[in-house]
Amino acid sequence: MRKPNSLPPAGLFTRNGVRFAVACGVFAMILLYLPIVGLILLSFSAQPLTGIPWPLTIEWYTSLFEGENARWLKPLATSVGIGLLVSFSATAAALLIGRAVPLARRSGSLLATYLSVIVMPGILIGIAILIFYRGLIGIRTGFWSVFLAHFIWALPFALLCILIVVVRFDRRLLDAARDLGAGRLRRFLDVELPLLMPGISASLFFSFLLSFNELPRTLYARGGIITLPYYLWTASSSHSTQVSLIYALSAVITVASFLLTLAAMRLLTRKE
Amino acid sequence: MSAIRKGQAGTGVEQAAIGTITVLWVLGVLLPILSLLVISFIQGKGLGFVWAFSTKAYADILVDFRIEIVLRTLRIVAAVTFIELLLAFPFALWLAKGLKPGWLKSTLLILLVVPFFLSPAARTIVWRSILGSEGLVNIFLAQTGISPEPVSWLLFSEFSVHLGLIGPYFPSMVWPLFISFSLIDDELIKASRDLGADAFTTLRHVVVPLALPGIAAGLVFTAIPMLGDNVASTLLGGGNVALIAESFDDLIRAMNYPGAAALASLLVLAMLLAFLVARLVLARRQAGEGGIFAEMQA
Repeated sequence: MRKPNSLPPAGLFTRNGVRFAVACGVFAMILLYLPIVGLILLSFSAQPLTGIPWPLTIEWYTSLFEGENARWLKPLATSVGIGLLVSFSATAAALLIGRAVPLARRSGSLLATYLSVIVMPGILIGIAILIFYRGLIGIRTGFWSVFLAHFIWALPFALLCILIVVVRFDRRLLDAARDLGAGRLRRFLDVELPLLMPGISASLFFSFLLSFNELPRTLYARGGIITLPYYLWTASSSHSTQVSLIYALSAVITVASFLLTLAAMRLLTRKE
Repeated sequence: MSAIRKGQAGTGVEQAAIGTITVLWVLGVLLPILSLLVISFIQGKGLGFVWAFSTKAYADILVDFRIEIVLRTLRIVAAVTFIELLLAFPFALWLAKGLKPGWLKSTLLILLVVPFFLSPAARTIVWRSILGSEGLVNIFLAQTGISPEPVSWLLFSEFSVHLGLIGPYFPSMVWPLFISFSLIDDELIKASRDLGADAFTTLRHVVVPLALPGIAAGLVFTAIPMLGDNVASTLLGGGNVALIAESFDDLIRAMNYPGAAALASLLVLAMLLAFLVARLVLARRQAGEGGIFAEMQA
């Protein structure tokens, strides 16, 4: 560990060097966060499409539940359902695989098998599911294929969450528990599970969010299923009057996702 | 000792479960993706296939306007990836080696994680309100008298697609770079300085060679997913800047599955190629490690 007061490795960063590095970062972060902050501001604007946040109004939020406007409730229920299912199954699979990784003889290739899909373009996963299962084998796409697409997306991230805690876990604790007479189940429930819990909870949160906000994979694997991101996507790529409502709805989802991500990261990085 | 190890590796049931999941994953996930390479060479019939060799799919794909779309996608992805590298390299190096641990560093790292879990469409759509002909920028330009007529190239143009891609893919470039910079031992950088090297020399002969795996990973993590991006081109291209993703839309809607498979094969090949190049770069680096020391001694 570096002493708290010692200087960072000097020579690499002159005053101007730091300014340049920060400027690059700030520029990219503005491009990343301006649309997110803008979305939230404009969801309170009387005329969101002009990009001017004032005059302020909560009209869009109050009208979200009125008659025709409330059509997003059903896609919301679908997305929450699939999200929960993906969250629990991806975490369970990741826990099973992740615990075996440090002991596996060929852990490198085991990890590569599961993590390689992170890099793949999302649209490719959707196309592959549609063409292979619907086209080649002839199974109708629907709920199961949306679940599969989301599971493929969530599992690598779930596995990373589990690996972070598995690597920190001291396996000698299990030997100690065994010497003290604990059976296999007790060792898992009383020793391993509590210590792996931060990773498990983070994995549950992250997997849910990845599924809940997923669009490119769903586009082609969805069959007749309408998820919330798909509903928002069709509404926002058409020039309908719904757009103001889309801003309000997207703002709520984005803020909620932001808070859930913060909670999950807190769990994962908390010091014991 | 080996008995203890075996005991820790889990029960037979657990082993069997892991084996089953892995087999299912390979057959149910990886096989469908790789099979696109084969499917693109068989004959389509309605929504299904007839087992007969055919290159018709490629004949459908390799037409002028689609080649143009593929080339445009490659050009835009290459340009944006290059911009990301230029922006992310100094920033990630500063984050890893210039910034002391503290609230600022934690906050910046959190801000670089959160976007992975937000809806891609929700955070892109607002650019329309900002760049549109009645949007924020044009209102500002009109009111200040810089440009009384709305500037039309701001939205539904290559400009807006580039702009819309830079933000979302920035974290994908920063993370691999940040991790590989963080792994470099501070002592090596200090030693380089003590031996009289200036910042640029240290960067070139110490930092870049040691961070090469991270740079390769950053390029792969940024460019490959971007090849299939459908959000920026659809919402901000407005039909003027069609990318590969929109071609998929056309082909699927026309129920031309072999054509879609042929186009997807290009993505699969690009991906395999990227993995291969990344491996070669890493292998060469490992082989050349002795060389670095020889160079240092000279």
